[in-house]
Amino acid sequence: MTRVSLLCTALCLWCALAFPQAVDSVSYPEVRVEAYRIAQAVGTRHTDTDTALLHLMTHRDLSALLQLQGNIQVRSYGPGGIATFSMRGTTAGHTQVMWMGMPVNDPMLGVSDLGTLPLNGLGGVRLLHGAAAMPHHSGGIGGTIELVEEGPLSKDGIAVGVQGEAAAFGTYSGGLNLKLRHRRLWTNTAFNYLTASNDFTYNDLATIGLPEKRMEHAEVRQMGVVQAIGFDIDPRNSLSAHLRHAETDRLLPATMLMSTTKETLFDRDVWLALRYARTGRVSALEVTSSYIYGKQEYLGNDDYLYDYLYQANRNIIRYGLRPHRKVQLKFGADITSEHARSDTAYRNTTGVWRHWQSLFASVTYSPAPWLRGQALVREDLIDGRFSPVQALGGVEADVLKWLRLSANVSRNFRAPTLNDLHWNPGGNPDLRSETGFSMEAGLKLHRHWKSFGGSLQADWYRNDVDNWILWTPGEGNIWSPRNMRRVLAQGVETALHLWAQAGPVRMGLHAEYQYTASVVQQSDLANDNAVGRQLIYVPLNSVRGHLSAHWKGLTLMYGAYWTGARFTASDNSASLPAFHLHWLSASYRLPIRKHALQLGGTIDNLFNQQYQMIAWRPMPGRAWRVSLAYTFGT
Amino acid sequence: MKKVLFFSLLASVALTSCEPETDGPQVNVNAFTNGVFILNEGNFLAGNASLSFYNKYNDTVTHDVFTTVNEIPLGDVAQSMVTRGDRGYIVVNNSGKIEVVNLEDLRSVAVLTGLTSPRFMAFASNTKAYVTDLYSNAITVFNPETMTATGTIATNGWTEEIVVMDGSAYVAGAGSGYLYRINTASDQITDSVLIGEEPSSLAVDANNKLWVLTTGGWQIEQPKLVRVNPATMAIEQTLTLASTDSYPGNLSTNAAGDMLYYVDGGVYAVSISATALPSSPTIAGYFYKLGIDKAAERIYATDPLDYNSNGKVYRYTMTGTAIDTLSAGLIPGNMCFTGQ
Repeated sequence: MTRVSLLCTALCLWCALAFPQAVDSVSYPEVRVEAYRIAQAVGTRHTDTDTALLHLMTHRDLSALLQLQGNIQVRSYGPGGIATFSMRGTTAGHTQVMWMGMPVNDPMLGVSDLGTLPLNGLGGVRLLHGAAAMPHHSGGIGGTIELVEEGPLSKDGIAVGVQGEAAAFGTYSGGLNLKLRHRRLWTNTAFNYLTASNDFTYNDLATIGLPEKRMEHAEVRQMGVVQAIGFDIDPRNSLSAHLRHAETDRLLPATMLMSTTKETLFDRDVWLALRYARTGRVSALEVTSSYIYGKQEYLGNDDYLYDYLYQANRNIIRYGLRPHRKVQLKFGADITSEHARSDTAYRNTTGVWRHWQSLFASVTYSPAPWLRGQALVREDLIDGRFSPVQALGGVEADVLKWLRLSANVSRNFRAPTLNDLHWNPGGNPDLRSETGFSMEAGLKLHRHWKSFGGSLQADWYRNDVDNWILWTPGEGNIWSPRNMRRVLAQGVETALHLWAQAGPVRMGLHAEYQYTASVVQQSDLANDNAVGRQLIYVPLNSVRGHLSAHWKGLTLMYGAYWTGARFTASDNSASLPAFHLHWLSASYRLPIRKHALQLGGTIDNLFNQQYQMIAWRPMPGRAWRVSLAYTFGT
Repeated sequence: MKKVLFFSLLASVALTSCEPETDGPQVNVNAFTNGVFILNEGNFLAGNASLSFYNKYNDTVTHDVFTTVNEIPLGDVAQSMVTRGDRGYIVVNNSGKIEVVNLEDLRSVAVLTGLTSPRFMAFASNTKAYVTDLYSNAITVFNPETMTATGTIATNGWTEEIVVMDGSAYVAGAGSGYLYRINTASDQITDSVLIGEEPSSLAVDANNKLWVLTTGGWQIEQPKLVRVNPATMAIEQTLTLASTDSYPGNLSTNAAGDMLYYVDGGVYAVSISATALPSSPTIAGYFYKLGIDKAAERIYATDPLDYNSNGKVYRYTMTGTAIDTLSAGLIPGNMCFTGQ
């Protein structure tokens, strides 16, 4: 922590020294290099989370945001606790988190803990559904969450933000944001800190009489630093360096069925990336090299401190060429080395390695301005073994000014995790990759008038995943992963967005509905009662949405989400009941020249619902939050 | 489930009313005193452990009996169960507790909480019992009448099965590799003998010899079946399994005490006078846990299927002939035979 603080302080000092005149904006022709960015695949769906929600949740972690928007299922063990997610009826392991164009999932577990990803310093969160992220990487059979870095100031100057928030259950958080630009050099800095007791009360459903108890052993401390420095060499070339560092220290609470626990979990994530981007008239090049570091220290009830450490070096190159106005070619290569080490998880004390190379090529053809098609092929070589060939064919057609139709067919795969392969005991080096064959069709209607408008997007998908990896006890009752099942996930994702302007008042409505049938089709296990059943913790139906109204500096928001019943046993013999939550938020922004003050307040779980996302993990009832922010910008 | 229980109870009442009156003592066929408790472990941390009961009177299995009667979940990982008198003691591992139920109606009458990771228990007397533990490096001593802890006995690591005979408790020290002897009067460890990697399972044969089964730690060493003289703590015989891939458990005897049974994928039977272990199982298959109904001379073997849905329990004769299959809950594990 001390080192990080020193680093942060040094960076801030460096910025202050380097830009003594930054407050006084100088006249300078704007030099802005649009970094070459490969968008999502043609014919696929993506969701940009509402920036108002991002600001509302800026003191929280990614799991809190994604519960409010995005057709995504978040499974949280409690406020500040471990939180995983899934998209389109798959599991957390089938969904990637992507930063700077690279997947940053823990290669040991193959998942990301959203509870360790603070939102402060992010410019946005984009959800790439299904095959949408195939131009970027493999593995995201269900989809990908893209963490979008905050962009630099577009002209010389400084922007400063300081925020603080106090909330129920002993929660206090603060943040600092600093943006600077001087000529071609720019820097973005963000810092956040959170501490929470999470000592909410709940009714203990596991004790006769359902007595009220107070949550214990649930304290969380979280700290994050984001730093980016860029240099625009000229209008076409740029260099940038990006750092994200987050530390989360958690006491893991007992379930309602445990009398006591001593478990703690410490996470440290350091992501570092260097990027060179060149944008030409008909071509674009992007080269990124990154270092991903993750460390976990888990103190178990056996008083043993388990150490897990992983490092990955990922290097990607992307080249785009437009040889004709109707044709766009894209090529890419990835070179990745992953290393994981643990004194308990692996037999080899020096750890395990995996080397991964990938190539992809794509052609996008647009015979008319309203019609686009894309064909993509990708091949990965993992430790000398070829992965299943991946391919995508997608098409989009703006058949009317207000109607877009889209469709795609794709084949993706997910490689076994390092734990799947090497865990001691039980790791299975003979595991095959899971393969996913998916198809998708969607429509998007959008109409906008002077004071009213909106859009409706609906997508149907079908995702057939074979060689599904499942951990079950094998020889000697040792848990071991095997390619066990075939799972068919089908569903519908819809999103409705409406806005209206009534005089000075602007109102908005965002609503989502998701239907997900994710059913085991086949199993290698004799008498497998899961065949024909819905996957556990995948609700058939879920709805969420929010209303907003803006008047001058005042913003009011009301939101709700409803999650249907979720099975907790694979033969669907047990389930958690559906729950619905409501939240209310108000904020007022008072601008004073280049300064602004913003005061906000939120009530979560407005109707004090008792609910569980994970069985026997109580969630907090009604809770308040109050925040104050100051911003300054030239 | 409530409907099933209701109709089950209704049918039982109807059957009871049809039975001819006898001069002997009245038997409550709805009590949990003549049957088999199947402890469905449930998934670790998922809190979906449950208790199923196979009633020998009416040859029916009723699931989730603890929750149905007491309207609370059993807990997280149902580990083991013993009975004494009219009470049953259910050790719930990751809930750190021992639930005490009345065997007449399965009402919860007491609970001992605050244990770290309890595994198996045994009675030294009406007022003293021991429970072993995975993590606490101690055996907890408690009064089973008041369900209050009265002390601890420090051990070197994880302790597993425990038996009491002739004023001593014998404990499988799975973490240390030793078999411990505890004086039940002083609660002191008075002797120990090194057995091997992870001694976990104990059985007493017809000659009052103590048999200790090690797991081998899975791929650390070959598991062993070791005969110990409990009076001298001397190792008298060691039989070694062929493969380090084996992970045997649930050592049991038949009613006569002249045959030993254990599960290692299949169910193996070996005479107490054997000089080598069998190379093939008496019952082939892949089973999780094993139980021997000594009164009825039946072998029970559990199958958790995918460990995420309700499992099964297979019943066999003592020679391995299949009888029938009972339904069970999530991850059927150890069993407790009442009325024996």
